[in-house]
Amino acid sequence: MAEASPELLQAPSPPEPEDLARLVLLRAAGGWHALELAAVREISPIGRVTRVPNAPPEVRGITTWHGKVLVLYDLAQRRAAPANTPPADRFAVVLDVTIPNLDVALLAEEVAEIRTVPRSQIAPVTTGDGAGSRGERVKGLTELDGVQVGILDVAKFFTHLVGA
Amino acid sequence: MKESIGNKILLGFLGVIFATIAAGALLALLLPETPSRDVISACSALLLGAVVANYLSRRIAREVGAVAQASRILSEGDLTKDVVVRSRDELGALAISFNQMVMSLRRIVTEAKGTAEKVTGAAAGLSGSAEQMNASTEEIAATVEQIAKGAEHQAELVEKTSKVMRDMAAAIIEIAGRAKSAAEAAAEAGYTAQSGGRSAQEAMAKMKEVFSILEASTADVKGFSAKTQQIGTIVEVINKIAQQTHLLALNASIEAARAGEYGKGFTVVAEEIRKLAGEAGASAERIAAITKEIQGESAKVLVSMEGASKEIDAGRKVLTLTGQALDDIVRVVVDEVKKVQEISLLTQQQTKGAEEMVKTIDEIAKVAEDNAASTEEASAATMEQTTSMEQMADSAQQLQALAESLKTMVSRFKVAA
Repeated sequence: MAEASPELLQAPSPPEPEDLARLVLLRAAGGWHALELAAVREISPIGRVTRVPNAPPEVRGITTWHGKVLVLYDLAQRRAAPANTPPADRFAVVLDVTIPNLDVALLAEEVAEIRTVPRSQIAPVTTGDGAGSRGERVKGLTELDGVQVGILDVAKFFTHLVGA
Repeated sequence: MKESIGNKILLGFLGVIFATIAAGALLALLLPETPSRDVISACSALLLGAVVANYLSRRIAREVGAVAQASRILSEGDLTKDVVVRSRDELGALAISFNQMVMSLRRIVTEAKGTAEKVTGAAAGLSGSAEQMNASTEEIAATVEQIAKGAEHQAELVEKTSKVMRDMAAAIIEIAGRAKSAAEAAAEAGYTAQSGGRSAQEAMAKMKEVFSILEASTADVKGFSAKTQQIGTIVEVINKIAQQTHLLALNASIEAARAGEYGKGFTVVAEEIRKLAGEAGASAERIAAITKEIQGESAKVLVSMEGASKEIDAGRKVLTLTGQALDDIVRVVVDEVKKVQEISLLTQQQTKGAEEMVKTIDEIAKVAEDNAASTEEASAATMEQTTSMEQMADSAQQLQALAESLKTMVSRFKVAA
């Protein structure tokens, strides 16, 4: 690279304060959501999708990811909303969820960026099971660029899948 | 002593006196002196005087009576008698003069008879001639009157003709003026047509150049459209690269975060890469949008250019036909200009001819008026002549009558035995 940007020439960033949360901002099922950066392992394009018989409706199918099976979870199917975008045009947000011999990814139409948000600006969800108004497992709400975004609780999100 | 009546009267008087004296003396001698002798002497003297006087007066009366008788015969028209001259006195001279007068009258009457005969014949001939001339003059008068009417009518017709000719000449002059204006306008139109034809030829040449340029532009637009499609393909590749870079940057950020403290520096780099990828993607999208617009516009332009190309082919044919038509128009206009100029020239000549014709017609009108006037005068003169001829015929008749009367009168005179 001929020239480095000014940011690249700066000294390493100071240690991240404990009260900051790093969020991956994505658009899925027609709405903006956020995931804790720690809950995301990779964002990957989707290859051939194979539907799985008798799978829950929110499971769109399976594909391969680095030689492993990757379960594609579709928020639109969970919300019983029609998926107007085919899986091949979406991204698989591979989640850091421990399921034996199974990796899980969330289908997203778009992964925008990684935003750093003070945790003080994340409002806790007071409902009993943590389900948001749209039926997702949400562990907090924050406002990014004037838009309220739910921070998905991945652990609770796939509990029933693990149970299944 | 000269013999004259006076002398005779004087001699008679003296004879009477002498006879009276002689008778008285003789008686006085013969008769006794008695108181009655004187009376007897006086009476004898008176008787002798009376006898002498009677003798003398009878001689005079006899000669005067001869003249009177001759005059009476003469008065009865007999000019054959002459008076016998017995004396050499005044009565003889009177008789001689009377005879000479009778002779002169005889000669005059003879000549008058001949003249009367001639005058009668001439008067008869004159009367006949006068009647014939009168008839002829009346015919001439009628003919002249007809001629006068004809001349008047002719003058009116010539006047009308003159007016018509003037109107026609005015119309011809007007036509000539308009023809001249038309010729000037036609000349200008011809010049304009030629100039327009040249301009049209130049315009057609320019339009052909424009057509060639448009065809070249159509090819360029096709090439440009192909290039824009290539740009679109490249932009798609760039966009995909940007997306992949974005994705890689996101994954790098995720990996850096998962690496903890060791990955923080890389996180910054990955974030910058992601931003650059985002900007590249946004730029690629803008380029794609612009390229799409360009492609759309290019497609429109191409469609228009292809349509224009077809129109150009049609337009080239139309231009060719237009050029030929313009050449024909210019040729026709030039021909028409020549014709109009010839017409203008002819109308100008016609104007001169019309002016001369008007002058001639005016002269003819004047001559016709003069003819009419002269014919009127001739008619009047003929009328007068007719009147004169009638008067002459009357005079001839009167003359003939007078000649007849003269002849009758002269015929009373007897000039030969």
